[in-house]
Amino acid sequence: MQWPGHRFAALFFLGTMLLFVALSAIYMISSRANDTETGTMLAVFAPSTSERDVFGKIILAGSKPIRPTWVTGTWVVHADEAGFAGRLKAHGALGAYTSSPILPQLAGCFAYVDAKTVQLFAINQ
Amino acid sequence: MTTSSTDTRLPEVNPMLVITCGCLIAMIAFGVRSSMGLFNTPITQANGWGRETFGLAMALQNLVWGMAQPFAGAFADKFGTFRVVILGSLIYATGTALLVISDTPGMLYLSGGLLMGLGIAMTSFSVIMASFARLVPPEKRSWSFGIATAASSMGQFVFAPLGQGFISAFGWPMALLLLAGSALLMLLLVFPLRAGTGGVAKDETELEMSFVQALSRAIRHPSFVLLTLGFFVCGYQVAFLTVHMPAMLVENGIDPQLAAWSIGIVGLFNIIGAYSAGIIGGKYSRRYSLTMLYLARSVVMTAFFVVPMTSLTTILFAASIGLLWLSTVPLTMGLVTVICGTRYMAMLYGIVFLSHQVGSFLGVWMGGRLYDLQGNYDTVWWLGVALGLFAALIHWPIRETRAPSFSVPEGAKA
Repeated sequence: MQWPGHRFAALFFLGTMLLFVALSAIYMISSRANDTETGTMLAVFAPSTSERDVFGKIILAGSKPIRPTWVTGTWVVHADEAGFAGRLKAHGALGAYTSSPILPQLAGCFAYVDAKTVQLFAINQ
Repeated sequence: MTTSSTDTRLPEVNPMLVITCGCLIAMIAFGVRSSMGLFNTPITQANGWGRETFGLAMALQNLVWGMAQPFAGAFADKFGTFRVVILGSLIYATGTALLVISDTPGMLYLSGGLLMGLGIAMTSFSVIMASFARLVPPEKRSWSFGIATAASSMGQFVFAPLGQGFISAFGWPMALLLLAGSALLMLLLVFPLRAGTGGVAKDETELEMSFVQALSRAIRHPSFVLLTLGFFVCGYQVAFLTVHMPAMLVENGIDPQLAAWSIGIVGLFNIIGAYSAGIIGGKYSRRYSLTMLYLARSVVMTAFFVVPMTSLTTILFAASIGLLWLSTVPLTMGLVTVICGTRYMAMLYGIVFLSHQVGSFLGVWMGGRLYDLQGNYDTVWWLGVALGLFAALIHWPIRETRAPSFSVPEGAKA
């Protein structure tokens, strides 16, 4: 009887990781903020944008920066006026995501990739 | 004195299916439990409770898990992992589902504390590893312990986004029902493990005795006592770091996001560490591996505390301690099997695990208590370092051979 070994373990864990990535991606997609939405959000800017520029853009969009996240260019921000998410995008944010307890932990790379994908898709249209 | 050997009428097993299903059960059992933190806010808000009520229910869950593990193990040794997991998943699912209608603290302690704690004890990696030990050939045994432990850790990764996704999409009551449904999946997954029933491993002969006798013989064997004491340290260090590390990092100027992520980094490297420990346990001495592991924990904890705390040192610490996190489990389980055999291993590992849970409770409680008294984590941290050195020391003299009281006389072997 042949018992599985390292190859099986690698496939098992790779498959699980892929499932995790897929679930996280689906979650990020479902957390995208419409342009009209307001409240506390995660604003995603291009990683090449300096923290000073990101801070300025957040202020210009009429929002209050709450805290940066561990990923460059990604901030938790807040505003009460309607159309906040749209204003953030108009001031250079790649995307905005509604806040939830787990979002800052899951965001980051996923938020950037999703925001960039949406942006590219919009250009192609 | 009687002996027992493998029941030759047992059906042949599909190795791939056994390992896959066992790992999936370990993943679900650990994953559902790990996602309970996501329900803290919605449940307390819906019922107008403070955080203490939910916290106490979760603390009770851990305590019940620890106290029930030896009994769940004994049940698995006598009636088989198959039956234990069937009953455990029903209890686990009931406890999770009852959380939805738990509108009094008492009901919450019953559902989230008692029932879920019992359910976890009956479905966790401990009983799965016992089943693997009976089904898998000796040369693959340590590897199978490693993959089961690693799969449990993987459950935390999968169920965190899954739980949050359920809450976002359907609301927390339905999310709990879906998680209860996930627990019921274990009913299907356990079928390939039914051949790993109670009794002894394939092609092995073990002494037959009562559970009380087995327990009495084990606790009179110095190596088993040392192993049990050592696992107490594991529980102390792991639980203290899980609960208090993020707060300690933030107080030392580390970004709160990175502090939260540090636990995730620990979890990720834990998968690699647990799996590797399984391989190491199959090739090298388990007692020396555990000695080195506890020593390394102390060295890593000391280094992190004496160098200035930065984002880089935090990531390096989280990765290093992650590699050493649950790596103790396959090695400790392996030693229980070597010292006491496979016949009563689930119950005896349950005893060792109970010591782990007592250590966990003390690590969490003392962390909070000493912080309140002193305004910092210094004492409890250095105590963790000292206990690590103590654990390293007491694993060294463990004899990695079958205890005489569990040895089968030559003439009685099958």
